[in-house]
Amino acid sequence: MTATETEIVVPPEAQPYLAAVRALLDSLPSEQRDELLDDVAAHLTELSAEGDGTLADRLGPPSRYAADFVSSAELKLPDPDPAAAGRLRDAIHVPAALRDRWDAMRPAWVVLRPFLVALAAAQLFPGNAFVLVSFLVLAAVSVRRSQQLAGSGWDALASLIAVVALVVIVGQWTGARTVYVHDAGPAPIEGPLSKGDGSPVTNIWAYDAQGRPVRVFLYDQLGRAIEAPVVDSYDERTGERIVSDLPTDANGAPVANLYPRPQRRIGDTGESRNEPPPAITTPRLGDDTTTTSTSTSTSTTTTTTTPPPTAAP
Amino acid sequence: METSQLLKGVLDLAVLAVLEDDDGYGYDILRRLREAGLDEVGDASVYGTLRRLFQAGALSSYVVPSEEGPHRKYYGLNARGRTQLAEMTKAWRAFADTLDRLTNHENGEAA
Repeated sequence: MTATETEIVVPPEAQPYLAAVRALLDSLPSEQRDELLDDVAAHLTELSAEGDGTLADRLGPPSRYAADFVSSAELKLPDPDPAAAGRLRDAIHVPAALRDRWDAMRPAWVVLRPFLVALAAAQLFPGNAFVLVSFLVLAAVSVRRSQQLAGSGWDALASLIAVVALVVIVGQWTGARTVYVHDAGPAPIEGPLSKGDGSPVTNIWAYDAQGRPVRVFLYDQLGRAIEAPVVDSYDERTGERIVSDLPTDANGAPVANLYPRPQRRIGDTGESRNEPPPAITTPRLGDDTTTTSTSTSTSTTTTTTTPPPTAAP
Repeated sequence: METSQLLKGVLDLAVLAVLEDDDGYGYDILRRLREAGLDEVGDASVYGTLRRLFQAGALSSYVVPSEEGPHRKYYGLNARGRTQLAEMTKAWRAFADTLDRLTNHENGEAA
């Protein structure tokens, strides 16, 4: 059934048209193309026998003829080197719909691929310009050569390397920092004090064991000042803005770890009024109402008592 | 609307239908479609459709020597092709009826 080029016989006047169509179908697999050209030759021969007008007059340009033929036969003009691509696809059994989608995305992937590798290289060898430049050169070369390499083993290897690079990038990125994601919630506040949902603690109202408000300097376990972020917060019930100002020392310099900070509430109309301490009740302690109610139980295990850090402002 | 656009969707049915009674070769089938009134049918799309229906197993094919020119490849409906023709005919009738009702209704309102 399959005819080679020499077996296709058409009248001389049909030869140029057939040659043009053959050139347009050149990228089809040879078996498909020869079968199709058989049909084309038969068609052109019949038309020539009728003999009114040129073939181009009656059929339109060869490009449209070839396109109509291929599309109505639902053949696809494949990428260059169809044999290798075909073998790979046959081996993998990719569904046709997925394959078509992939064919459409392939050019973008080819461009993206080397940059993934370069990015991974930059992450793995930070600050090493030689490595980065080398990979960028490779990237440029691979994009330029991608047409020739399409469907080849090198193409598959390049994709494999790019996927590995993607894994490296994602791994480095997620390993480098822990990100808490709050759906539609406030962005996490940079600073030492925030609630579990990421909303900032902007002020601290301190009370002694008898429930009396006190002013305190706060330090952490290493004697570092605990400084709440200076950002606005909002009263959830009224929507009013609550602003905390930093107290100042004798020289007028702000003291960021003295609490409570003077707190103001700003209403809808912009008027600002001082915020009194929140109406809270401290828990009633047991009979042993000293400030170190837990010290008796822990003293047996804590043999040496660490004195508080000496960090007075 | 151009008839060629409408044709695209129903060319399979048209080709199967003209092959129902008689086998035919490519150019012959093209001529029958034209004679039936499908003037705008494209040569290449008929040949392409024949090739696709053949690949899909709806048509059988055989070569007949011809005195005046090259051998001709004839196509005919096989069992699968007849089933496909019956199904497509049914679907077409339902579709055409629906559009008839739709367009008549619109004409009535406009008048």
